[in-house]
Amino acid sequence: MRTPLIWRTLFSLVLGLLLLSLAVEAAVAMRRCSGSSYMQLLGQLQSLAHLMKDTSCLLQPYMRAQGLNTPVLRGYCTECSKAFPSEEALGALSRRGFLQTVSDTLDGVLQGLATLQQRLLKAKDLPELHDTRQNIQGMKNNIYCMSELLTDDSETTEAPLPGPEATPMTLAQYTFQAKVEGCQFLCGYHHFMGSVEQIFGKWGDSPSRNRRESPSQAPHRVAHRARPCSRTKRPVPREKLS
Amino acid sequence: MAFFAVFPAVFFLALLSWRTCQSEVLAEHLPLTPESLSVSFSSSLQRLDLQWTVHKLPYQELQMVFPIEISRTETSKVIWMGNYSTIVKRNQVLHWSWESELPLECATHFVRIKSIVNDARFPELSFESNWSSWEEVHAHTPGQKPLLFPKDKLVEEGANVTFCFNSGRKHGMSCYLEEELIHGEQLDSNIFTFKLTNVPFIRQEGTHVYCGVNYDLLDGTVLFVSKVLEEPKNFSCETQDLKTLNCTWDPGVDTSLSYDRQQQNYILFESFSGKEKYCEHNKWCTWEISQDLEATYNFTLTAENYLRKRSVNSAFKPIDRVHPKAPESVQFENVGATSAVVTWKIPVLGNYFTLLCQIELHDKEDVRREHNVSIKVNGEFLFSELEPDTEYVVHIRCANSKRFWKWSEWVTHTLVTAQAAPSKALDVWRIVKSSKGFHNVTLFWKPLSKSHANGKILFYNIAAKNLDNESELKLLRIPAPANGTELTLDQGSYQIQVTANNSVGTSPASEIVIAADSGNEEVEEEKINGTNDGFLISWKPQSGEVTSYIVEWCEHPQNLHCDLQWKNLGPNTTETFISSEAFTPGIRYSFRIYKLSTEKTAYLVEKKTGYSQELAPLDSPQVAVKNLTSHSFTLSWEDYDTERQPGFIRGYYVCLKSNATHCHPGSVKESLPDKSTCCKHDISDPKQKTFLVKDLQPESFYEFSVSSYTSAGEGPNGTFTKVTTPEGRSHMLIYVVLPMTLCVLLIAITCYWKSQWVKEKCYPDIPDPYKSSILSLIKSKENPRITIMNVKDCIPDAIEVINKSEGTKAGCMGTLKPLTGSESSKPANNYQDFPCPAACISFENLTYNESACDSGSCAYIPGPATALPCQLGLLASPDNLPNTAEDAHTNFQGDIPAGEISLNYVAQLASPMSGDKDGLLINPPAPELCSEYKMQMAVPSHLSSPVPSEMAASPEPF
Repeated sequence: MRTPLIWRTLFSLVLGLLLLSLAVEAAVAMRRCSGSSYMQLLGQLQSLAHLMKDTSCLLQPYMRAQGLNTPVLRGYCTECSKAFPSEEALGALSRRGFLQTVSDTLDGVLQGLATLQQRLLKAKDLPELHDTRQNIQGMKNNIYCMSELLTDDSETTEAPLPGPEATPMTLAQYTFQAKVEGCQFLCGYHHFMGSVEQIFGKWGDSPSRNRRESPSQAPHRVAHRARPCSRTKRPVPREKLS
Repeated sequence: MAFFAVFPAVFFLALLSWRTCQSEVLAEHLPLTPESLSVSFSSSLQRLDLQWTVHKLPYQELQMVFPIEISRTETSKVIWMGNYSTIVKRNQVLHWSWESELPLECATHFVRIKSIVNDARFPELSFESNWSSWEEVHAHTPGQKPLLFPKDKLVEEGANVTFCFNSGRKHGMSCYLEEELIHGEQLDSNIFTFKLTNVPFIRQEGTHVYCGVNYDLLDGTVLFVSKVLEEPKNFSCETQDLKTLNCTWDPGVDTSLSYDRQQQNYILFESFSGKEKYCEHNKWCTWEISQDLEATYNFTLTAENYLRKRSVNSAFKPIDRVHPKAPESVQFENVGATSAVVTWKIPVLGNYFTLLCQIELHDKEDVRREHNVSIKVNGEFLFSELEPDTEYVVHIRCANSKRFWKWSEWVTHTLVTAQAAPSKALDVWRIVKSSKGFHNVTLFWKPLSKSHANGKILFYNIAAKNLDNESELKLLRIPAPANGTELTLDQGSYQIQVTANNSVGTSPASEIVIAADSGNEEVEEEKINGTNDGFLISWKPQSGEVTSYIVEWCEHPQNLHCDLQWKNLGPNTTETFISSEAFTPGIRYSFRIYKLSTEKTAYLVEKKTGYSQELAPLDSPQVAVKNLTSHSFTLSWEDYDTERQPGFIRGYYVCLKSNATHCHPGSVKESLPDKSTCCKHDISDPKQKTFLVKDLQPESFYEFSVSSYTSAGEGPNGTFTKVTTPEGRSHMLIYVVLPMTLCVLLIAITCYWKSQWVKEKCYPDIPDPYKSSILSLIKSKENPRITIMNVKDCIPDAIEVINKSEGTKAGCMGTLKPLTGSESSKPANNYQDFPCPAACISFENLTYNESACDSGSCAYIPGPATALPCQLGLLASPDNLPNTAEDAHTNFQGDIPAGEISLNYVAQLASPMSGDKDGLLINPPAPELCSEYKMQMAVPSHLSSPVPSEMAASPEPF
């Protein structure tokens, strides 16, 4: 009789601790966000998106590392993957829906980067890949905090758009095709971040919804923890991406 | 009809039974035909794998030959045929492979086989079967992408690779290796092949081959080219703990690629135990020693990758491969000033081995002492003859002494010996300066070397004892690191002792005596020539007992603290070479040589001075010109300081520029940088600082410059100074001018002295009209406003007086008109309008001149038209009139005293008085006398012309 009681007590204790830890984690997360204002967050998100759309931060180092920067292959590489949501589709979303879509898409990007790393970059540790992961994580954190700030309940949160996370990237059997697919995936990622920057630019000065407001004048400064692309050589022209 | 109906059926059955029977017969005759032929393929290896069986072997095994044919595209195009010969066992499945140069996906392949029994043991079985049917191999499904083959092929650097590309009937297609266009051959209507030879390694990520139309990519592939795997080098194994073997090798070039299959692995295999170990690292691997240390191990190290294997062997006994670990627990015991004991341990090995240990002792100057010691486990060694207070570095290593394999790693420890009293007396020197009955003694000493100090010097003790009064003793303690001090002593003789002290003891005393007459020695200085390396100083051997010689000098004589140096030399030495890195070219160094007597008293013996390297003078003399004459001048540069030059001044060059084409004897013509020339005179005596430049031309222009020179060359060319010689006869002029001046002066004085006389003789006074008796006469009879005409106001004129009647005179006066301002500007008209009657007097008056009239001072008559017409004719600009009249009046009154005038004539005109402007000379006095003058001055034409001839003939109104 006594043993089940002990087990029950232990089970209750573990369950209580688990719930408590979750609550503490949420509280800590809220506390981390509480110091940021809307404009500050928006500025950081824009800056991060501006930084992450730069192809010299990842696509070009990848192409150089893989030997894909020949005239023919370069053009093929910049045919961006269609797996990412378009700017039009993103613009039609509510703010929360937009943030959720971006966050989910970035999760898909992280998965795709892991696949690329495992399949094609095992021999070389591409430092830009590490930086990109850090920046994606930073953007996701800021998106989380921005979501907490958006308290306008009048907005309906629609289902997020499907992105790479919906269909995880699987590279082709043969290496050449896999390399090109990796290129196009990274191209799609940069293009997507450009769209995200555009959408953030249209957000107003207030956390409340106003779809018609003009692009914000939020500062385009780089977020504190953003990793600037120090290895920049020559960016691929923007028009090549689309 | 029935027959015709049955016959075919019967015939068919008969034929069928015959065929069956025939096949059974054949089967019985062809029992060794290859059967169950199957063909598989490996795309990555481009290999066809054939498999078949031979049934019903009559014997257990049989030597057979299998001819094989391979066709491509269609069966008739056989691309390869050959025989496979083997011993076939009963029920054996036979295998054979064929590697294709062309990727199998490029085309359909066909294979067939037959058998031939070729066993000498069974000649009765000689038999050749029929060909099997063609087996078709489709490595690639038509119409399916990708189109370029092979895919992800892995080859070694330098291999040849053939690609094929199914263009799908596209035109304008081209293929590239990286960025280089490659050319192919057409295999059939759709398929092109490209053969790459000697492919290079480009990157670990593979080499890209791709095809496209224009810039539209159709397909591509990656060719993984790896480096060629090398045989491991320097493979060896050893043990440090007698339990584990540590095997190491040099793997050579890394062949790994960014490709799953291409990993470079190492496998260690021991043949006696049959054990194999997959090594986790590419450079080393461990192996557990399970047998006796003296057993032999035969290792094979195999390096392998997907394409190749390379192996090396090594056989040894572990006991021969003992590599001791570095010694441990190194300690120093009984550390003294000159000795110490070091102890250490060799871990792990135990007493099983006798070890040879090597001990090295290094001091800071890297002097090395080596010692070898045999030990078991614990080692000990005594260091002796060490230097006190010295840091040594001790290295120890050990090895198996009986079966030497390798030394252990060095272990390093530092040993510092204890201090001892300083072992050597200080090297002491002094400078003595005498003044006001005292000796100012500056003591210097050189710090003891590390080997003599035997510890850190803490202070210096100085004891100065008066030799005349031994009770007088001065003691000083100078803390280190001072290297000198100053003492003020009286004029007596003093013995000074200096010692250095560390924490342990005192050094031997260094002694020096200051004699009563020290510091007053006078010795002539001698010039010496130094070299870049230094100075060779020599001196004459001295009489008397000499304990040593001392040479002193300043290393930086140009500085305030000259950095005194000295060198102690033996009593028999008469020369020494002084070298120093501080010696600088162009700096004059002075050396003093002293002898030290047995009483430790120093006496100045000789003085030398010189340069390590002489330089050309820094500046040229400032020259003054003296005694300048028309034929010579003297140049002087007495102020030129030769001592400050960077070399001994050997003389001077005087350079003289002139117009002369030839130089005087003793000088040489020399071209100057500005392409001019000068006559250069060499003054080889440096003490001569004047130079007489002679034989010059008077009134000539000369330029000169003076420069000094040393043995290193001439100093900077001075600027040329310009000199012009004076005129040659100027002194003669002085001789003439001076007397003449005196004469003139004498004459002038004489004239002044006799001026009254000269005046009377040369130009007697003109009579003053005011003093005339006529004036008094007029004053008494007529208008008091009438006055005497000033001489200057009158126009000299030739007047001829002609006697006329009184009526004429009255008529003349009656025609006068009053003169207005406007009318005054027309004097000529007025003048012409009044033809005056002529007087009876004709005279020559020296005081009348034309200039007086020109100035107009004689013309103004502002009064009514009672003035004489001749006066009006002299009128000039009215503006000038009042002043002129006034001046005339003043002169008149001031210059001519009335009482002195005594001439007997009467002026022909009257002039208005300045003080009587309103009054006019209406009634001029009539002359009482009529004298005749002779005209002396020329009358200006403009004045004379208007004068009508009638007027000259007309009588004056006097």
